Amino acid sequence: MPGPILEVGDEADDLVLRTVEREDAAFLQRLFADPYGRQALHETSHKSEAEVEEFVEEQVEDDSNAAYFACVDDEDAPFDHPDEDETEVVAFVYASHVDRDRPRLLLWVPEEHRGDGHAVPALELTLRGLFRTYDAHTVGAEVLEGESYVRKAFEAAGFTDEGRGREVRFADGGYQDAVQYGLLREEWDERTGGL
Amino acid sequence: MPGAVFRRGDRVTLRTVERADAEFVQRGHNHPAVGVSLGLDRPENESSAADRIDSVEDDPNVATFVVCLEDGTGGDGDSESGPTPIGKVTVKNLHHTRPELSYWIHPEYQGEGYGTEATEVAVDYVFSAHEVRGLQAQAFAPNDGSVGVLENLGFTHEGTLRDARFRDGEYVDVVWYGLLREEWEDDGDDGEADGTGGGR
Repeated sequence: MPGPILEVGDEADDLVLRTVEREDAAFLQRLFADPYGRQALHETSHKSEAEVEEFVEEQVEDDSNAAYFACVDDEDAPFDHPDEDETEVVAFVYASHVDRDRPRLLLWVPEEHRGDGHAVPALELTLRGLFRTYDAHTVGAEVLEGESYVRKAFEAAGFTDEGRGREVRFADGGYQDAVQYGLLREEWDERTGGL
Repeated sequence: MPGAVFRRGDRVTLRTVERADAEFVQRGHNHPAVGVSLGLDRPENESSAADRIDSVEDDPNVATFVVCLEDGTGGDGDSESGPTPIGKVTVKNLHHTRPELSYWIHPEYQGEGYGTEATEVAVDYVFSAHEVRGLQAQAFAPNDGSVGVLENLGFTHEGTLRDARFRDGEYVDVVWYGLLREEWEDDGDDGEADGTGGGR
């Protein structure tokens, strides 16, 4: 299960960000089973649970990356380690190379929570955490054309469509364009009043 | 000293990269006009240049070449010294749908169209030898030479990532270019494997 709380959303959103733990590998395995979800990690095939544990140990736990679970907590959920029935993971947000250049974001929402309205607040809460923690000048994301819920979330969070790589990847039976999104710190500050 | 000729253009050859080329590669990578444009941000000694050459040898998804002039002087005017290395072309992620192309020409030899010619020969090689959908390349927006090569070869400008890298004291835009197989094949006779680039 996810670990301690990192960021707390507005009351209206009812979201918190929690750490990703090794025991979450079984849940994260679903990201790699999603033909779109795994593409943002440049992975083209599914993974065994052991391989995903390796991903957690080598990537999630690497200081140059930052991983977050957006969770809806039960009223009694503790700050540190909630039990299974005390919190529900509604999104996974992952930022790679937060220490240099333009960190790259991945957003994934488990299928049963798509359309619940958590994607944009989860992304915004992550951006708040990232811009508070790291001195990134901009952040970016590459999203496949076919993954429309993710594209909509980045657009709603204020990202600019900076271009489209034509037929960059093969996924879900066809060649897919990849849309490049970017957000500058100054745009984020302007949007949020520097919060 | 570069290895065997792998492909020929009109004026340049693409030769295999040998460990003995570490000295030449290092000279290019450390030159501010090359290294800064490539996004290299620290000095590279000869042993690390040699290590990079070694690591690429073992990687089946990378093809890399020394660009040479066949003037027989080895670049030092000595007529017995063989080809003159003038730059490097690399294709990486050959297992991806659109592998990525990168290239540099030593400043001493820039402005003569060698970069365009060498890159054209490499693009021909990739499309004829590998079942890829296309190719892509990125450059810093202020780097006219690098962007010019892509435009000369008919790549399409697909995006501009704003302020995406810090280089030479400031944030700069990164431009992305792409080329699909049919765009290369439809581009007329000058796209053939003989590497004649005159029509572009």
